[in-house]
Amino acid sequence: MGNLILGEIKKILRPKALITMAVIFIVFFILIALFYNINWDNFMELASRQTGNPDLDVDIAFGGSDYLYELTAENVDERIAAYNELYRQAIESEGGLDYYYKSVVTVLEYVKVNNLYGQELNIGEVAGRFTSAENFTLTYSTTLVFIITIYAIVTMSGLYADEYRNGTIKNIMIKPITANQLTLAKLIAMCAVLLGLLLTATLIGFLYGLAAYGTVSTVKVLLVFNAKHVCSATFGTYVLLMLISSCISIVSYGLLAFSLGTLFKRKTPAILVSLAVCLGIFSLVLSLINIKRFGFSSALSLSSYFIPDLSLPYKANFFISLGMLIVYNALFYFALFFSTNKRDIA
Amino acid sequence: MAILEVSGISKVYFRSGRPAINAVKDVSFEVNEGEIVGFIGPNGAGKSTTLKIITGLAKPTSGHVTIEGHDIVKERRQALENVGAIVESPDMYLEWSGLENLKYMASISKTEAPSGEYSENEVTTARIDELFRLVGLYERRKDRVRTYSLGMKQRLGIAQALIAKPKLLVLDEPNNGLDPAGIVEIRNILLRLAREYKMAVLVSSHQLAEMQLLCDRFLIINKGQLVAAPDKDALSDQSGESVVIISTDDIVGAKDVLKQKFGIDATLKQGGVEFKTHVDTGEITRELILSGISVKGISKKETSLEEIFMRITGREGR
Repeated sequence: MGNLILGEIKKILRPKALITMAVIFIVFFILIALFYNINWDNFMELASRQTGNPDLDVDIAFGGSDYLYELTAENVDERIAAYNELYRQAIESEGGLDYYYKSVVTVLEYVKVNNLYGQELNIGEVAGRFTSAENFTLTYSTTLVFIITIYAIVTMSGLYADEYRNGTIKNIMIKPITANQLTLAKLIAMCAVLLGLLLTATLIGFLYGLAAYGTVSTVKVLLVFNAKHVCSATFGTYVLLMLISSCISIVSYGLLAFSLGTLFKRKTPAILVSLAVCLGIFSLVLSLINIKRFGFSSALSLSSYFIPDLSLPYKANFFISLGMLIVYNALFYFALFFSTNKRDIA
Repeated sequence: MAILEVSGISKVYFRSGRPAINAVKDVSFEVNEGEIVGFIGPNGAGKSTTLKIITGLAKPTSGHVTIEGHDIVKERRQALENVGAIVESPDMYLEWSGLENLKYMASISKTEAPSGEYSENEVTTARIDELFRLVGLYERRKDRVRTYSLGMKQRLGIAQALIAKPKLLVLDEPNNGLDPAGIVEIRNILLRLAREYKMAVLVSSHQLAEMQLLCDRFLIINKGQLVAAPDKDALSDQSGESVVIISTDDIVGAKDVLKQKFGIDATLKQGGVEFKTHVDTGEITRELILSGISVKGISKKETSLEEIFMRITGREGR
């Protein structure tokens, strides 16, 4: 099995593919580093123009936590009631945002119970206020994850399809190995490559951020899990959580492309369908017929369940998403199993 | 001892849930150790499908294939541990060198070293070098396969098929792209493998003259069915007759004797007569001499595999 995995890693890491990835990464890194600085300057300028108090305004305007602005013991109940009303309306309209309002109510009640008025509270993502290695990593990894997802889709769609096209599948499958072993080896190899790629790129981003902006590893943030539970964590933990969620997302999109490429024995349709899913085109269609909740990309937004997220669909729930994610991935794996075990190899 | 046993295999390809093509129909045969069996048939006769079923690349609709007693469907891994094969074409990883290709194939060829015969490490070093020398690619082993000619790829394919010292070698058109010298080399390699290493070899090819030189036995398949299985010695007996040419000055006398004594209708040729018979040529010569015909020479023209093939597959005169 070890030899199979090593062989698959070697197939994935072709020199041409590596050079292409390195060039894309360098260009992308330079662009992100430049835009990150420009954005920060714009934030500061805007904040100064508006109030003359950049720190406060940037946090409110870009941190997405305006519900905490000037929160006191006197107005907290009123604010909770207002957000509860918004939550009720969102449920009635079935149009989403219900998750966000419920999360806000949970945060406000947490502040009330723990008497945290006037304190500096960072809810999940700390945008703008802390220009730090962690913040840079977070901003940078959002785009990085998208690029790696595209790479995963393109590469994984060809894991079997290329072997079929080149005829090499015949040479492998007349060796004493089973189709399941080969599939597993391909998956493990691809996961190892993707993880290596993500971690290396993230580490480079973090080291650059550290040199340019310094760390805020001690800053605490509040995470609101599944709109019900609030817990405190370091910003670094939050970044790590995002990365784990991103890994799951990348592998899931990759698995979709892998199963389709194997089913069709061709890369192009697998890439097109997977990209359509990844870019939310299917989710859009599902939302038009009001079943967005069960869309694949909705199921992949696991990291959204740790912040008051505005993008989650109607009646979103972490455990339903997790269940859907498992079901979808099981379906993809079943498609792979069917394609490689039940059909003739050649 | 039979290494490969094929029992009543059939393969039906379905389209929209309905049987569309019956590619192989109830085919049975065996290949014994040390034997080279030629598998021949016209295009679309079911050769490749049969070879795919034997090597586990396709599943039979019915019937069984066992290799060294292991069923290819139920005990795939154990069965394939004893098989080396090229099916359809020797497709390799073009961006890798020949050496990298063989190392990779070696690494997945055997799950464990067989009873101390050689260790896994030896498979990847000495054995690989030996194979490159055997197929005449040692000097080019570090070059990318993309730069190889078709013949070189074919040799590399044979090397990868031999990597785990298989007991059964299945080769589909191994002479494709080879020059005459290459064909002779491959023939000698295969003969050596069968004779010295007692390897069972099943080889399919359209080059019938070459097959006749190489194989001990033949399996002729047509329209999915095994239609004949002549061995090398019995080639001339397939029609029940051999073509005999007798050189004599008295061609008319010879023709008469042949008609009277053996009921043979001979054709008159310049300086002799030609006829088809299953009668022993010694007996014919004796009768001719006793009848006063001076026989200058007698030769027996063996029926070629090609002639038999054309006759059996109904392609004669086409």
